[in-house]
Amino acid sequence: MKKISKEKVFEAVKPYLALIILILVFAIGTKGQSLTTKNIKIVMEQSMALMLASAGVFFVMTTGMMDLSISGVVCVCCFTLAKIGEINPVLGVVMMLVTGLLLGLFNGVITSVLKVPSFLATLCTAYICTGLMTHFIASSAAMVPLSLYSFNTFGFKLPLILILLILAAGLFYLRPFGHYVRMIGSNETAAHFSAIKVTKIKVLCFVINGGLAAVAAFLIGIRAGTAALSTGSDLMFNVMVALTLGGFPFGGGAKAKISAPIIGSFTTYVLSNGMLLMGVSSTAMSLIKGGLFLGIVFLTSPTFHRLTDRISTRKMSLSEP
Amino acid sequence: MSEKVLVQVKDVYKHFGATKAVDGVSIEVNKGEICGLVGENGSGKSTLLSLLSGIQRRDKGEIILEGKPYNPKNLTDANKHGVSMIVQEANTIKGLTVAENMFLGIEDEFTKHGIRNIKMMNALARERLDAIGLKDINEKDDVIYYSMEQRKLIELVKAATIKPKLLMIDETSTALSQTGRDELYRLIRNTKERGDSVLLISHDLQEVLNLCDRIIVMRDGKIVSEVKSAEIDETGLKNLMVGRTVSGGYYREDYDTKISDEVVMKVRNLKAGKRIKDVSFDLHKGEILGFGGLSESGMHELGKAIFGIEYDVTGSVTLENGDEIKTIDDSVKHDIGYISKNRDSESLFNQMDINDNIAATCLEKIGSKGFVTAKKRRAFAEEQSKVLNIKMKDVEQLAGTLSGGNKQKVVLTKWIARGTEIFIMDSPTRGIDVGVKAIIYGMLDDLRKQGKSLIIISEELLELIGMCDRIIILKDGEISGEFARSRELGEETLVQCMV
Repeated sequence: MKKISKEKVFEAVKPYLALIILILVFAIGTKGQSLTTKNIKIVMEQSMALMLASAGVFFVMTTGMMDLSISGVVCVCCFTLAKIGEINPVLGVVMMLVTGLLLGLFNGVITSVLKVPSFLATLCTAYICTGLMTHFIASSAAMVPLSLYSFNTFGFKLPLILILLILAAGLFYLRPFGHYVRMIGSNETAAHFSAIKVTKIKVLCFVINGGLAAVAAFLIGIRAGTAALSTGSDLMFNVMVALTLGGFPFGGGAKAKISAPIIGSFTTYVLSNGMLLMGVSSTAMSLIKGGLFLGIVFLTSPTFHRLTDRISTRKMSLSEP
Repeated sequence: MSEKVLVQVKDVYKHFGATKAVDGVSIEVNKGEICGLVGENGSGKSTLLSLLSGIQRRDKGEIILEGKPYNPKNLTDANKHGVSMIVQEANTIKGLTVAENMFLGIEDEFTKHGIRNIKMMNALARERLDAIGLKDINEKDDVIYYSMEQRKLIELVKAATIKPKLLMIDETSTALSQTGRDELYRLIRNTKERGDSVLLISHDLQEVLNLCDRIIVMRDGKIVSEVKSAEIDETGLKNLMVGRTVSGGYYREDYDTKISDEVVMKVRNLKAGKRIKDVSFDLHKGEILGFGGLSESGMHELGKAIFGIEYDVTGSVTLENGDEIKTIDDSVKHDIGYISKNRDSESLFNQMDINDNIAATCLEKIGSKGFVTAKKRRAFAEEQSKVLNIKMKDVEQLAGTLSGGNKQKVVLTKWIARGTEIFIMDSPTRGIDVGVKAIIYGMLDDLRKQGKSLIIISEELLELIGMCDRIIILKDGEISGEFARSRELGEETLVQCMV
C-alpha cells in the first residue's frame, strides 16, 4: 500500500522535478545568466499567454477531444483587437472576446453537436482562420492601438492571469462541471448513461477554450504591438509541449490536473529561453522541442507500457525451466 | 491405459482476483468418449473449457494432449492441435460471409500464390451446408442476416469441418430448436464414431444423461464427482451439483407475495430500432419484473429503449403521474436508473476513484451553492458504500482495480445513492462470482421490500425464476410468454417460449 502511494507521489511531482532540473541545467549551462531577475521576468511574461491558451486546450483535451485551431483562433482574435481597436480600444477588447467565444462555440457545435471528429473539425477551423487572415491582413500587419500598450505591465498581467487560472481551477475541481468533464474523458458512454449532458459540457469546454484563447491573444497583441499572419503560429505546438511537460495524460482525461498547463507552460519557456541563452539556433530548437515532445509522449503512452510489460514477461518466461 | 487417454488435465488452477474459477482440477478424457461437464452457474465449467481451448491461460498445472504438453495460445492454435470449441455466446464474426466464417483460420487451404480462391471456398461451404440440410442459408451472405440459431448451426458445421480430436461444446442447446438440437446430437455422435472425443457442457441434465458416457460434476471450481451416466439419474445428478452449499438464502424464498395494484410504469406498443417490434407491459410498485429470451430477442435493447438511450423509438413509456419518458434526462429526473450489461464500457468510470463513481449522479445534490469539495464527495461515498458493503481499500481507490462483483456494487450504489425508484438492470450478475451474487440478490430483494420497482433483464433463466415476481419472455422483439412467480416454474417451460 505504501509502495503505491510512493508511485503516486512520484507521478505527481514529476512535472515539478522536470522544471527544477531544467532550471538547474540552464543555470549551470549559462553560468547563472538565466537566473537574473530580468531573465526570470522575461520567462514569466513569455509563458503567460501560453498558460492561458493551454489551460483552455486542457479543458477540451480532458474530455478526450483535440483542439488544433488554437493558433488560428488567437490570430483572428488579435486581428479583431487591432482592427476594431482602431475605432475604439474598449470595443476592440470586447469584440476580441466575443470573437474568441464565437470561434469556440463554432468548434464546439461542429465537434459535439454535428459529431465531426474534433481533430478534423478543429484543423478545418484553423484553415478557415488562416484563410480569413490572409484575406484581411494581405501584406501589411495591423497595428494594435497604442493606448492598450499601457496594459503591458507586470502589475496588470500577473493578477489577471492569477484570477483567470484560479477561476479555471475552481471550475475544474469544485464545480460539478469539472467532474463532468473528467467523467466524459474517462468514459463518455457511462457519462451519457448517467444523465450527464455530454454535448452541452463538450460545447462549453470549447467556449471556455475560445475565451481563454482570446485573452491570450490580448497578451500577445499588446506585447508584439501588431497582428500579423504569423501571430500565434507557434502556439499550437507549444501548447502540446506545455501539456506534455506538465504531465497531462494523453491517454485519458480522468487523471488530468490543471497544474499541467500552468507548470508545463513555464517549463516550455524555461527550455526555449535557456537554449536561446546558450546560443542554440532556432532550427535546432525546433528539432529539440519536437524530439522531446515525441519522446515524452512515447514514454507515457500505453504502447510503451505494454512493450515494457512484454519484455519483462518474456524475461520471466525465459527464466522458467 | 495411456493409449486410450486423449487429454489429461493435471492439477490446473485459474484464479480471477479473489475468485477461484478453476481450483486444482484434474480430469482425463478418453479417445472416443463423450464426457459431460455439469455444475451450477459459476462452478468453473466454462473457465475449464476456455483453458483447454486457449481462450484463457491457466495460472498453474499441466495439460497433456496425446502424451505431449499442450499450451494453446488461442482458439486458432488450439484448432491446429485438433481441439475446437463451440462457445456459449455467438462466435461468428459479423461482416464476414457464412463461408468465410466457416473456414476462419484455415483460409490458407484455399490460397494459392497469395490469392484466395473464393469460388472454391463457397462451393465447399455450400456442399457442407447441403449435407446437413441447411438449404436456406446462403454461403455468400454476411452472417449478420441470420438468426442466433442459424449462426450457431453455422458454427456446428464449422466444427464438423475441422474434424477435431477434441470437440468442446459450451451450453449450446438452449439456443437451438429441436431440429437444431438433433443436428448437434448427430455431430456429437459422429465425432464419437470417428474415435474422437467430446466434452459437453449443458444445463439440460436429461440431454447430458442421454448423450454422455461419463459425467464430471464441478462445484466452486473443483471436481466433486465423476460418474458413469448409466449409474445415475437426473435427481442424483442435481444433488451432486448442488451439494450442501446452496440450500436456502441464495434466491428469494417467498412465493405468495401479492404484487401491488399500483402501476408505476406503463409501456405501450414500444417499437425501437430493428430488434424491438411491439412490446407492451405494466410495471407495478414493489415488483421485480424479469425479461428473458435469447440474446438477440431484443431484451437488451428494451432496457435501453425504456431508459431513453435508443433512438427512433415509437410507442410510449408513461409513469404513474402521466409523465412521459423520452430521454435519459426524463428518466433520471423521474428517479429511473439504468445498469448496463457492459459494466466496464457503459457503466463505470474505470480510471476514476470509487467516490467519483458513486457521486456521479448526485454531484448537484451533495454540493452547496453549486460547489462540491473533494471532502464532501468522499464523505458521501463513504456513507453510501456501506449500503452494499463494497470491499475496497478506501473510496479513493481506482474503480478499475476492483473485482467484477465490487464494480457492480459501485454501479448499483451510484443509483441507490440518488434515491432511484425504478431500476432497469441488464444482466446484473453477469460475470460475478457466487458470493457477490448472493449479496446482489439480497440487495434486489431489499429494494423490492422498500417498494422500489425493478426490471431485470437476464440470460440466466434460473436467476429470473429465483428472483422475479413475473417473467416476460421475448422472442424476435415481441412478447412470447408471461409467467407468474411459482415454485413449479422450470427452465424448460421458459426455453420453449424462447425458441
